[in-house]
Amino acid sequence: MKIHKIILLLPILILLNCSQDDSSTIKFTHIYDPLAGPQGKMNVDWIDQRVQIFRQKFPGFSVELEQAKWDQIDTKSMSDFRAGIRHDVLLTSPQILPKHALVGDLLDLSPFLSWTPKKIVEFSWSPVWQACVYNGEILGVPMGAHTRLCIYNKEMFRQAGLDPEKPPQNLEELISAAQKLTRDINGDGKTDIWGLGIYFGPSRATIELAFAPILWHFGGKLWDEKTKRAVFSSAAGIKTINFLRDLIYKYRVTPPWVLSGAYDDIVLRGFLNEKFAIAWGWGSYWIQPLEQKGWLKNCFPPHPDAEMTRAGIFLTPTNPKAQFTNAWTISVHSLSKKPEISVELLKEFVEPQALKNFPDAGLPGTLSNWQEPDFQSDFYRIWFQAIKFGRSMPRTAHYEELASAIAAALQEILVKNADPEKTLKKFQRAYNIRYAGE
Amino acid sequence: MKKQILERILIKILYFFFFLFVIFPFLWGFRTSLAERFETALIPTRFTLMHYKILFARPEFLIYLKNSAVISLLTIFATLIIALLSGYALARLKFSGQKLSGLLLILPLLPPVAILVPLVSYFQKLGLYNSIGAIVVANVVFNLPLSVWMMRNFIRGCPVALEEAALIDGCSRISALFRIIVPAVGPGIVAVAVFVFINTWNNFLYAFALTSSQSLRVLPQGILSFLGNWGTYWGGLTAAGILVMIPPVIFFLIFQKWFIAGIFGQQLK
Repeated sequence: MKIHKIILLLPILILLNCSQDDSSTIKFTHIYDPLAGPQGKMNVDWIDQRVQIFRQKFPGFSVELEQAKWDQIDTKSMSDFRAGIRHDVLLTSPQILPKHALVGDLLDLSPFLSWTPKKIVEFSWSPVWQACVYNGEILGVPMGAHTRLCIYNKEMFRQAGLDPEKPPQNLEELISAAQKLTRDINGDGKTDIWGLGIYFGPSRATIELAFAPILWHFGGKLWDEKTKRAVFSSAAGIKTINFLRDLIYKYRVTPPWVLSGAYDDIVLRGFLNEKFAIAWGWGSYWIQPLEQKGWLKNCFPPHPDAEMTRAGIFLTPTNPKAQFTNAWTISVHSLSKKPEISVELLKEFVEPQALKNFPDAGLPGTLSNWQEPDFQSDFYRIWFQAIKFGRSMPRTAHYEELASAIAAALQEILVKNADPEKTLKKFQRAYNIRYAGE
Repeated sequence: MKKQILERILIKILYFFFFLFVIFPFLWGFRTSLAERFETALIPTRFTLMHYKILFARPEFLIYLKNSAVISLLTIFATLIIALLSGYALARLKFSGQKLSGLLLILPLLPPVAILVPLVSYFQKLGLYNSIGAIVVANVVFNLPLSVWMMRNFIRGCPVALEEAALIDGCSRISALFRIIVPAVGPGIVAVAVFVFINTWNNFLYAFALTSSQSLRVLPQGILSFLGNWGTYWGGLTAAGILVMIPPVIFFLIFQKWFIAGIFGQQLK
């Protein structure tokens, strides 16, 4: 074949691969890759089921599944909006919804949902709903509830002379129990079991699971909604950082290696490998590994006879409304050519009976599901309480930047032993110079 | 004498530690891909092929593999043709602005992420968004500056006399290019092909930005999906990483001699 023919053929080949933008196709963007594990496959299967039901109701429309990574889906929605690329229905993160509001890539669902007050109560009981409503606009609907609490090893409690049925009720009791639980088993002078596992690594998880709950407990705030300024270096902020630092360096109940690594490596693996007697920030998404390990019975999937055999759970011993709670939310893209139909697809996904089987829901986000017999065990009552005591992150359009600023400050203080007050103020000032007033 | 022996031993020890430093991440990845989940011992108590079996049991892995292979081959093909013609023009022809060709080396310094939104917008307007073609075109465009420059240098290294003789004998320029120059710059072509293949095979950004369909995902996207929002499936991630590494390594091993000769501008006999 002559070279010029090959050159001519190439653009034709490329054009043959192009896709057509058809408005009778509703695009649903999700975050689940079946390659990543059985959980991904289960979520995709659930989505397929909902799509099939939608197609039976609306035979004139087809649904195209799109996929983005969980930590990129919000960015992709916003950048695609700027580039004029439409999506229709998509999963979003509640913490990022204020940024979506600023960019304008999500549709206000209020005029489309036309839900009765009873229907709204199904969702509005959860703190995640508060994150979905921004400046009076409904930008998303929660698809579940992810919250965190403390988990403990009952056997280790027994060995340390503590009552395994009476977990700590406040921070003082927590430290006291953790000190008794921290032990050198083989007598080599090194600690083998640490009383309290808590993640202080260089990521957003540290803010969400450790810093913010204790700051809220001490009456502080990360960001002030009225002045739209970061306020984390308050007296409560300094008290919080001193409390966290003392866990490692004063009480010696938390190992220094929690300052690096990933959240799941520290908390999930640390607890399952019996490095920690108590783990702080245990997520509702980790019930299954406990059941697999045999430390829980009939807890996953939920069952009325759920039993906490070797592992027990208790509410994080802070004041109420001090535990970060979130979930995946579902939204409609503002470039959708068929917003009414897109909202119908969204409704299909948030039906309480459908959400009950959504593998990534974590815990049910709809109130009616919590009244079912499967969720009446002690185990699930504690989780329900944890959600009700939950709180969402501050509604700033620059949440990621705020979290990064605090994470950097914490690393300097905890790792480099920098002065807490000066460091928190330095990072707060740097944030406010750029983002105060939004 | 003793001093020399001591020096040699010290150098060998240094080499060994350097080798260990370089190879350790690969060894650790390989170990993790063969260990059971939640295994923390340096040497696992039990080895398993479970993570590899899981990968091959999922059709998505083969789909991503096919997409990555198709995109890489089309990109190599298109880049080579354009780079060969452009490199030839820069090496042999005289035209105005030729001296500005050095600016080609500045283009790769531009981070693609900086122009991502307009790029996506252009592809959307061209009707290329969400297609294999979009990823191929983006990869070709961003691989071209360095590829053209490399080809230009390889062609300049060829004796002009051979080509002039062919032109006197009645050969057209394009014919002389393919009959005289191409065989002479074989190692250079292989060097460019390997360079483009590795860049494209490992590229995540263009597939992420220019496509959204599940059926168009590529291997780097698949690998990243193991980093879940509530935990990382390290066994699957490392098994996929090891498998993804195999094609570039095989490619390199086969063409190693040509690649090294091409990079250093040598001619193979």
